[in-house]
Amino acid sequence: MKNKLMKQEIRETRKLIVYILAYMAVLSALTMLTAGVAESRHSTTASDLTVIFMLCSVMGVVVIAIVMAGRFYSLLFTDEGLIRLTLPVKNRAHLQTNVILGISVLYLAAILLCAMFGIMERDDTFFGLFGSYYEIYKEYYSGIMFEHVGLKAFLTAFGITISVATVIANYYITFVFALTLSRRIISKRGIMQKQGVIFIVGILLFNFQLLALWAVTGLADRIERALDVDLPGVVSVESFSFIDMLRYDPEAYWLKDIFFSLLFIAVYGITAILMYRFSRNIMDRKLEV
Amino acid sequence: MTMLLECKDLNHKYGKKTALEDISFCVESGKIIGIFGPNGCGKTTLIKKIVGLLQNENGSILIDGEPVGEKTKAMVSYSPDRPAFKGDRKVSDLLDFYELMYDDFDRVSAESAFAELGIKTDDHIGKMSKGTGEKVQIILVMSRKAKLYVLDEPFSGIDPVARETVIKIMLKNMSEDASLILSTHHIQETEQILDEAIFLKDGKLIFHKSVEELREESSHSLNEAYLEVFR
Repeated sequence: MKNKLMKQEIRETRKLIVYILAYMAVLSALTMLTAGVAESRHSTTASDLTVIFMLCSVMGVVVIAIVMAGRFYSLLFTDEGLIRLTLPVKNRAHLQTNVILGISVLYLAAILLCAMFGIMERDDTFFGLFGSYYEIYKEYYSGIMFEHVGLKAFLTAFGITISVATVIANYYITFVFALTLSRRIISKRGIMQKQGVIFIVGILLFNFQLLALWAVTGLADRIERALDVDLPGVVSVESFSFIDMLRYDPEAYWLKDIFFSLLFIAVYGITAILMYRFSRNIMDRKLEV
Repeated sequence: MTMLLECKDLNHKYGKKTALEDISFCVESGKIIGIFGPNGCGKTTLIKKIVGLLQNENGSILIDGEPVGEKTKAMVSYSPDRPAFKGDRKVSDLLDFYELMYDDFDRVSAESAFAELGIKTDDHIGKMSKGTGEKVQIILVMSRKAKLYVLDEPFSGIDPVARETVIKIMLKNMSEDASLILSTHHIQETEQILDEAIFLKDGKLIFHKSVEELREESSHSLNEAYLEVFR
């Protein structure tokens, strides 16, 4: 039955997903074009357009998250919920299918974005996100680079990839958790101002996320000081192009980068699991429509 | 006749307001039961408990011996008290949805009922009148081969002529051992098809009797009995 639910979700969202991904692909192409023009002809207009297109592409990922979470709300917590929540599945199945599909589409969009930024930074040897992995393997196995650097660079890239994936999943689950928790508060307290409750709960949860980010960076800093090691700066997780990491000396940085990635995965992973479990519990035991 | 639905000591509160208080009754298979009462007496709350939309913390509900959950949802076909589907859906989308989700859904029967009522399958729900939207919902619900049909205010927006046709379609689609629970204010139109009646007032069960018994006792029609109790 869960498979049927997933099939139905895909059936209902496929057009939307294709449209958004196509929008991002077109923007990616435009960004590369304007970036090329900006670089070759030193055009400020082309350069401004590149920035606008890049921002629009990033917004595409945000729109996907909002649209998928909006579907979760409108299918289950409005009148349609009267039909959906009487389907012969546990209520949690609706949560599971939406979260799996939502996160999968977000990953797809993020990969598209990474590929775009990666392609923009291409040079003779590296070709974006996928190329960087390929190069790491090639260098590692051919032994061109000195011993272990290939593996260390790979571990760094891999750690940051997983931590970014965890953050994306965490943010989507935060959306879904905010909606589920709001619904619970609304039905328990008999509050009519639904949008207001969703807004307040959403803002609080996302502030909590910022607090978690602050805690992670603070914790990393404290550990560094406690160990009395002076490792150079950490590679920003916002750097989607992994070539950047290969350009600096991975031999010197890899341990700190991996440590930082593990902290991210732990904090964001654990909070995502907790929020998911809370949402599941509300769906199965407390939800009243 | 086997017992299909058993409700025991059901209670429900919305904040401090009591919606249901110690409701107990049983429904045998093959019966059509009407739930009657003024607005706010607890009809929809009772129905939502039976179909699993409200949590059942006090009392118990058994459908074919199973507590309300995944298994009972497969046995129950429910139509809420308002058109629930989003306006951007076509009738054909809803047919696809029911066909995928319910193994007991009879698409051919649903399509023939839509044709009988002049509803096109490529029409959008949002462009239909409230009554037509309700007809679509009832036909989809009644095109399942369920054990228990639960319809909450099914005829509120449907005109009297179409109401007759919808009732005929409903009865045609029901199997002999299936039961139907109907909450409605249209007592006169439904009296002929009902086997039993449940009267609710302020969340309490006033009585649960067979319609025949009610008529014999009071020498009144069901509608007159209703007016006598609630006036």
